[in-house]
Amino acid sequence: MISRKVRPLLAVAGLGCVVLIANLYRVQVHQHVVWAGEASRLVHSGNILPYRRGSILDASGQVLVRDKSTYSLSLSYRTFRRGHPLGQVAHARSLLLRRAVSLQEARYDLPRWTLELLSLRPIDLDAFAEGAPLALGSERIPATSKPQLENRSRRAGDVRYYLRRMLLLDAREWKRLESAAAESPQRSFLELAVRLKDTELFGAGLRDGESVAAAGDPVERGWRRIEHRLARSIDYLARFAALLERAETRQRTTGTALDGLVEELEETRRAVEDATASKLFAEATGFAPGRIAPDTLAHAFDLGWIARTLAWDERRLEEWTVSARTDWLSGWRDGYALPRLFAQLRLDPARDPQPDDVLDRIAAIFAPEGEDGGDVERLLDNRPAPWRASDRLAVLHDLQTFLEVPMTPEVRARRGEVLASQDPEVRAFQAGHRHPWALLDRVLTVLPDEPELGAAFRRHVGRGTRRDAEALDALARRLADDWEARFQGELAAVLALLSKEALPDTERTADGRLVFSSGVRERAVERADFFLKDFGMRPRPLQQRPPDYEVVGLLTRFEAWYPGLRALEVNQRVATVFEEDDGPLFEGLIGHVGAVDVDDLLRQRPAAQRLEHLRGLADRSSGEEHELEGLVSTVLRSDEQQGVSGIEGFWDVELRGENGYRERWGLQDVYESRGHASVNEPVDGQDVVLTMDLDVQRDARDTLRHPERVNDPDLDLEWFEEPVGAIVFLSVEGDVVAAASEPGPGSVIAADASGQRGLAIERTLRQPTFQPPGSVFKPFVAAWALEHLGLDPERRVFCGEIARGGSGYKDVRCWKKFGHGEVNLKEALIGSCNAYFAELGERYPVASFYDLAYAFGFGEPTGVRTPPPWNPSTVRRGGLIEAVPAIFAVNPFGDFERRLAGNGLAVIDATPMQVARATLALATGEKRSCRLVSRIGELDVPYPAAEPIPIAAGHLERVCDALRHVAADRDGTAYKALNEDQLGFAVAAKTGSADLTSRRDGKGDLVVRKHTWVAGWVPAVDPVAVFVIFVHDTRTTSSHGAVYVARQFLLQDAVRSWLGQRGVSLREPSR
Amino acid sequence: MTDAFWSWKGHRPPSGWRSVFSSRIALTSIDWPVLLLAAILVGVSLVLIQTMETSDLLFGRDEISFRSHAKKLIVAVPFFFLGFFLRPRWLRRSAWLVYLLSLLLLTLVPLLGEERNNARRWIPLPLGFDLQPSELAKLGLIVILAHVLHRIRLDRPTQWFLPALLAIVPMGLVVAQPDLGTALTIVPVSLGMAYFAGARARAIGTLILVGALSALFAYQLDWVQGYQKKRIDTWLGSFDNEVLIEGRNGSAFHTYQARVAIGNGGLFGTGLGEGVANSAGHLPERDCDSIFAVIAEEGGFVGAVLFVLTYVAFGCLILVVAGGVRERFSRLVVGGVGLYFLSHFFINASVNLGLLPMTGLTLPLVSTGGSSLLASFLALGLAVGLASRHEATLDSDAFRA
Repeated sequence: MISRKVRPLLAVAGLGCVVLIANLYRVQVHQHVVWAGEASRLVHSGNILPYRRGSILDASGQVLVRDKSTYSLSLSYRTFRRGHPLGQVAHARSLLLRRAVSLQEARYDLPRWTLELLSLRPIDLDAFAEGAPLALGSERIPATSKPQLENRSRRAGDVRYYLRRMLLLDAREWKRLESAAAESPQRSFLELAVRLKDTELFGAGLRDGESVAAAGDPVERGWRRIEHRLARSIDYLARFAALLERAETRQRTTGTALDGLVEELEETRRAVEDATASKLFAEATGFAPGRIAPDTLAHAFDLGWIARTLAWDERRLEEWTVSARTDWLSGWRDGYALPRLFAQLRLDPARDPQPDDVLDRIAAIFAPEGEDGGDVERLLDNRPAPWRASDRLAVLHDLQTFLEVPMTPEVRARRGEVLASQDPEVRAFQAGHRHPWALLDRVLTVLPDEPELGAAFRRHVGRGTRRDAEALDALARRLADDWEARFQGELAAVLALLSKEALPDTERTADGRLVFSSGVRERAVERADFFLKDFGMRPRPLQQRPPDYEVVGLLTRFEAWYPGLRALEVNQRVATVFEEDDGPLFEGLIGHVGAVDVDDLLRQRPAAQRLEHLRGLADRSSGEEHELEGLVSTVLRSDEQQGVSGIEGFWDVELRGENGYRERWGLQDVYESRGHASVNEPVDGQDVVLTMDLDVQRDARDTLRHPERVNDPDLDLEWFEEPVGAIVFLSVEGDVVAAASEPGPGSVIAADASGQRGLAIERTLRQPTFQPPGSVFKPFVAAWALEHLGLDPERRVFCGEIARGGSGYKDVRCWKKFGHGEVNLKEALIGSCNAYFAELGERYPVASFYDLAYAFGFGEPTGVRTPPPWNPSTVRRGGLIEAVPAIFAVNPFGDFERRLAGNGLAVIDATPMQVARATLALATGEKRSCRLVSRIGELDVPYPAAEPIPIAAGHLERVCDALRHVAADRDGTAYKALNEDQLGFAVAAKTGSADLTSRRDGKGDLVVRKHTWVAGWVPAVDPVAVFVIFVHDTRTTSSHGAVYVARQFLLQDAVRSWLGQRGVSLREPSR
Repeated sequence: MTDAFWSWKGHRPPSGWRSVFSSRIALTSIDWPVLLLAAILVGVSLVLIQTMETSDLLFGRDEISFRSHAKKLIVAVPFFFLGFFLRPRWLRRSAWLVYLLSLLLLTLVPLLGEERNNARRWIPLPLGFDLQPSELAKLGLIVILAHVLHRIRLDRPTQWFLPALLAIVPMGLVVAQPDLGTALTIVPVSLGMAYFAGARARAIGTLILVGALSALFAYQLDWVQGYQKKRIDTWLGSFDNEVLIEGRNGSAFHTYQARVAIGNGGLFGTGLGEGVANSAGHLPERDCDSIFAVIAEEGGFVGAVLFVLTYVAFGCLILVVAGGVRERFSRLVVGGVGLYFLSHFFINASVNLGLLPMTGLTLPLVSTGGSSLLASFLALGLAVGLASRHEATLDSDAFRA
């Protein structure tokens, strides 16, 4: 019979039981999927499997650039410190002495210190834990009456762990050792260990009944084994360090290679401990320690609990305050938050940025962080907190949550108007519609030293160019710096109000530092081990460049000697360097890959967050699985490389592949076999085959880089000494066979090089300076005039003396000192008579100049940047910059300008590729787009449709015939270098020169500087290729410079071979 | 007293140790069902701790030791017999001594105690574990409340003063350590014993209401410390799964890990040692304060319900047994012990389930804490021992139900 008095209590217990069971049902059954998913996060891991970027090949299939499987060295410091004697001894000693004993110190005294540690007895550590003194070699750790304050118990426990690892005992063997210690308390850890049976280091141990004497002092023997192991561990580390250094991948200023490596390991250790300390601090306070100036942080707050947790001394603690500040200012604020916040502002396509947007972003930096990252993260997720509503400031707002001292009314009264954005007058200011940026001015009036800052913001915000972005970031940093200074001043004032003098009866340390409330410390310290493990486990790169195979082999073969050091397989973009070359051949045109930039990271932020969410789900629907696969393949990895310039940039879409994904359930870092995995294989990028010929390109580059000096008294030796120019070689179908520039990547550029000689850029598709085509433009003028202006080819024009001296027509001089006399069209072309074409130009209607230019492709892209027809969008295609110079951009376009235009001077501008394309049109009668890529993956890139030139074949042939005579007739301007005897085949060509500027030489004479050109085709009849030689900044005409370069190029073996393969009849050249 | 006097009374009172202990307990009078349920709970504990150690070995951790737990159990078992053989008469007479000794131990904590995790709750002992006096103080309080309440029925407000003072003093000392979880268990034990002693349910209900409203005002007016407010905010937020998950790397870490473990168990559980709590090892105090979460995960909903029913049955059975004890002091002590086990269980399970804010509290007989084991075995011994005796007393209500 149940007592009446008990029944209500049983009813309450029953009710409680029902509540518990109902909640168990809610959590375990109803919400099981949610929590199983979270559990899965804790034990399942997913790896993005990187694709291999497609290769770039030349026309003959030789690989020019490819992704190469290589290795990256990484260090997991936690594994190192637990597994390597150096880490074990340094950390065990640090724990006992309560100061950070460096790895360098441990290295030099490794055997002695190891012996000192192993000579400790378990009872010594027990007594140490309870506050007794401890002798560690020459060091004496004093007794303490408050062992708990020094975390003695925990430190002793950690030292035991390191001793176990030094003795290579597993957990069960260690338990046996502890049992033995209870029976023989006077024995040291070493003595106890050598008596254990079947251990890794000491083998069988002492047999039953065997005495120490009979065994020949097993302790001594055991120590020798440990000593031997210590020596080997250092030897292996030294071998590793030497190999790294030999590969010239490491920089060392002093000491041995091993010194350098140990120093780097120590830096990693400091980084891990610094990160842990910062996390502990943030856990307790809610904000990063770097928000407070180091002096204030170290001297106003009691950070002893962090020092005790990490076994640091005062000096190490102060070093951390400095590094935490640097990390926050340079790493987080300037390196992460500001660039992203302002990049987002630039990238927002929806509207023009407003001054409120700028202030929102600066204010977000100073807002409390919160668990979701605070206002910065909200802003990045497009959930901005308006600056006018930002009343709370990080640190000042958080003080009351973690300090023991009460916030006095004086303190509360101060916390409101630290930054200009918190000034009530500024907040109330309405700028009006006509001058919205006046708001920013109003805010910035509080910056007397920076009166121009507001105007600068106005200038730069919202502009999309990279240059403006950098300027904007710099401005934002300056404003943030100013607010930061004010904030630190206010913090100091608040702390003064909380000082011992102001509040004498509040809890604080003996020297007056503010103590944290016990609750927040407790919670933070509870997780210290977790943080240390987390930060320590994260692999950190040990060096930037990939290690060589010897290093990888060493790490792989002797893995046990290198705990924590791993060679991870990674892909690296490598340009092939052929035997004949001293560097990559196509570097300028192929361009580079680079890390994902901030803009792209911001653009893909929502997708990346969605991907993270999906990865965290344990159970996904088929739709979610599909979405995950899609996102894995499209979201850029943080370590992914994307094409940023040249061919790599423009065909990045094709060269990129799709990442794969491997998901594993189980703790793979602990045991591989229990986990199971699912894999979506990555899809590699497609290969891109260029139309370019490796050998012809090499010859073009060599020709430009090392032009031969010929026996010509007018030769410009200066140019031949330091050439600047370009060569383009097109097949008659429009394929770019070679496109070389000088100086380019790999060129030797003198330290005092000036002007274009100091600029290693791609020049076939650009015009770094104004570069009119000069006389190579004359054939186009002639052909168009024959067809459309009724030019009589036999009509003669007089080239003779003109008013201001020299020869020519009116105010246009001819290059021939005494003039050409009366010449018809053919003679004018062969002799490149300026007077003839000045007169002809004068007769041209302005519109006809535009018509003729567009007919031959001037003023428009050449077609090299044409995407494949199956993926025609150019929206996301960058790189391979092609200049499209404006033509006839002159006003007024009067008679004088037309006379110049007829000669290709002053009013028309072109790139070498445009000139080559126009020449090809002249030679074939069809305008074709140039093609740079012939095949992508398995698909051929078709030739673009050719467009007939609106000029009758007869008229074209008349001009072409004249150009054949330019090289074949003794009077031709190209004859002396490009005649058939010299080349072994006939070419048609046109020389050209265009004045660039004039400057005085060493003798004080005025020297005219020019661009000179040769444009032509080969063979002269039924051409298979077009060539263009461009010589920049020379003092002689094309006939005394560019033609020799053209000859040198056309005589190159690879060019002749290429021509031979295309059926050109080749004879031996005469020279 | 003369021999003649004692011959009139019927027997001579024992002297020496015999006045403290008595072995005259008939096996048939022992409440075997209570002991059986207690043995089941201890057995569950042993299996769980052994599994945890195996997981630790597998995952290269060195946190939980079955051997250490077994050692604590071996130390704790004699305390069961200590309580079991204790004479109720001696206990009643020595109640003040027991209570003052427990208070003395509590006051020694700030002087001799060892600080761990920024709390000073433990006094080092050479027994393989350290003593947590607050665990013993709860038993001291049960004994003194039984002593005081066995003479009064709390039917006048003035009669509440002394019992309330006796409860508040150890509560204050425990809160100062700080150990809010232990302090919380004192409330239901004290109120339950007051009810047992005759207090009206309405009076107790009013007290609970006043206490709850005071706590609410204290929270609203920011009278609680910053970290306490943050803990309460975290708790309130934890009812929303998304908020809890967002805060998993911050202040909600422990609550999150416990919820994940429990929720991951599903209907039938993951199996012994297969739960995320053991494999990932992130759940703090999984062998101690959070052991309920491990049981719920590895046993699933079915296993957890069985465990809840077993534990509640165990506590309720002690209450039922208490109701049957004729001697008022013993009845109050046994009832107090029943309340001790039940309040620990409900608070511990509620904390793990997120129904109460996170606080550290062991699950008696199941968790590994040495002091907890010692106190719970002593309490169990007291309850079973006192309930098994039928000693006559001279109390006015000795034979009243």
